[in-house]
Amino acid sequence: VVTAVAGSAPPSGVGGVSRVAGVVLTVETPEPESFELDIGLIAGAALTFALAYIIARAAAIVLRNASELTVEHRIVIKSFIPVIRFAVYVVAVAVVIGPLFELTTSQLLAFSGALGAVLGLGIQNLFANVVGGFVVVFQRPYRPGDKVQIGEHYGEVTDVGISSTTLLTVDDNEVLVPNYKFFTESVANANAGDAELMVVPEVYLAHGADIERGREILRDVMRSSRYVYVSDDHPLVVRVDHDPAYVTLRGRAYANDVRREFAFESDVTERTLATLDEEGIERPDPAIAPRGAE
Amino acid sequence: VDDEHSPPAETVEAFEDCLDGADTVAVVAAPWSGRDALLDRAGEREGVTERVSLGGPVEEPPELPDTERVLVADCHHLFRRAVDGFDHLEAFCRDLVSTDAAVVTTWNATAWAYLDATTSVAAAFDEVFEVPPLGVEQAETLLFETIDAEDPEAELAAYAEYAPDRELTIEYAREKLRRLYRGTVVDYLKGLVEDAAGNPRTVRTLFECRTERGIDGRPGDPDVAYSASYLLWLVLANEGLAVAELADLAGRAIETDLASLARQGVVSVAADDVTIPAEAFGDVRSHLDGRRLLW
Repeated sequence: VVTAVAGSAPPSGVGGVSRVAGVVLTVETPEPESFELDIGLIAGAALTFALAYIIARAAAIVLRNASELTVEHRIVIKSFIPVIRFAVYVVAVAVVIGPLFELTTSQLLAFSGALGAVLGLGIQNLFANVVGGFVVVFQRPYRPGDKVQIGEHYGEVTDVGISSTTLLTVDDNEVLVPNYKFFTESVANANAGDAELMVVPEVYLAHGADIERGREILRDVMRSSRYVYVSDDHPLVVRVDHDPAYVTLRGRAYANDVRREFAFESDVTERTLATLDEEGIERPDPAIAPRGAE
Repeated sequence: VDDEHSPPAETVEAFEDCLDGADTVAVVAAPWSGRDALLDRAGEREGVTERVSLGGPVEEPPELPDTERVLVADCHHLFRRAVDGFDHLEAFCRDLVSTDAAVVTTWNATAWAYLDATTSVAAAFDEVFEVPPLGVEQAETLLFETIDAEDPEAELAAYAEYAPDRELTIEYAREKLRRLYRGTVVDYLKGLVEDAAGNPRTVRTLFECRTERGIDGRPGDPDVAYSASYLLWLVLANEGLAVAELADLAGRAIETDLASLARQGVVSVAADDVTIPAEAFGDVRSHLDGRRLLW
């Protein structure tokens, strides 16, 4: 604002004064808007995050229910849950911290210092988890519905959250794995987004047993299982390995649903062993066979 | 199953072309889709023909007669989904590749898809002829044939009431349908064909349910355990099974699952035989597809 004042002293709070031909020109610079952390701002932020939580939760429920209607597309549908959740929270954070972008340099520096101090004081793990969550959501080393091994935990990924991934283990335990573990642990994904999952049942025969018949039985059991899935890309294979103490018949076939992995394996193992016994095909001494011989 | 359906003319024509270029042919179709009619067509060709109908589970694989042409119906009965259940099929396929006769066989489509994945049965045939599901136009033709055949005079009277000075044509019948369903015939038929998974018998049955009885006709997606879904697959692939055989294939007691399936209208149990009612065909396929039992 430029104010022309003839022959008067500049008022307080004036940014600059110049005198030209007996006329005093005063230039007023605007006061920077103050950023006050008042109760209204806090309530607004809380409301925004609450709304974001409700939206993300509702979307997750809808998608989860929709995904359970089909085995084939279950994992694809579920993979949208973490993406939507992150998008909703990113928007919420942007809405809340939007005013920060209007801060002056000094205010921004003060905020950055405070944020650095908070991170340094102990929430760096949370920050690492959130970053890990972003990487998991967008790089997709696994997605909800996949069967994964993270560290010592193996199970179905039921949720990829902002800070942790939830696994449902075989023992029906829910395990929360911090997302930063993705950076520090090896992650094995058994199905990588596919609805089907490879299963490798093994049975053991004694040396001298009818190996060819055993191989036929295992093949027939696998292809007649109610849980099997076979296609050109998912063939049935039976391999025979001769160990010094026994012969291993190792099948390779796909369960038609990742959730039927153990049902398929049990079905194949039980029926194969029952048929081998029915036909008197000799199995090795349980003391020397690793498993499946008992 | 009883299959009196005659496939559309273009399907028959394509089948004739297929026969011209191949000695061994597998005709693959859903139940009630005209497999028998196609086999009859093959039997009308020149030369000495022998026909073998398996009709049910077989104790031994059929021997191929020493003749010019052999027609073998319902070859899906050559296998049981069990240990050693594929032996007859494999023996039959070995005979097939060594015979001099022209052999035309028919197969249930669900069983065929399973067998082709697990035993590569298609490799034993020169040609595989898959009868496609009905499209909208074919369903329309089928329905109007049905309407005409059932009670032509009554239908004529109905049409006459609507268009007294016109002859009975498909166009006037289309107008009748348009009045009935307040939508376009095509939209209606699209829905009907989709509900019936393109199966001719199912199309007819659902149409009758909706026009004559005023009900949808479909049983809906059954809410059953996976073990019961597998029973459905067995019944669909075998086109009906005795209860004892079904229990034997399932390897367990099936009474509870069977009762649940029957209660929900997706199987019929009569005289110890389990079958899939025509009106349930589309829902059964859709259910099995959702469970990844259809490949």
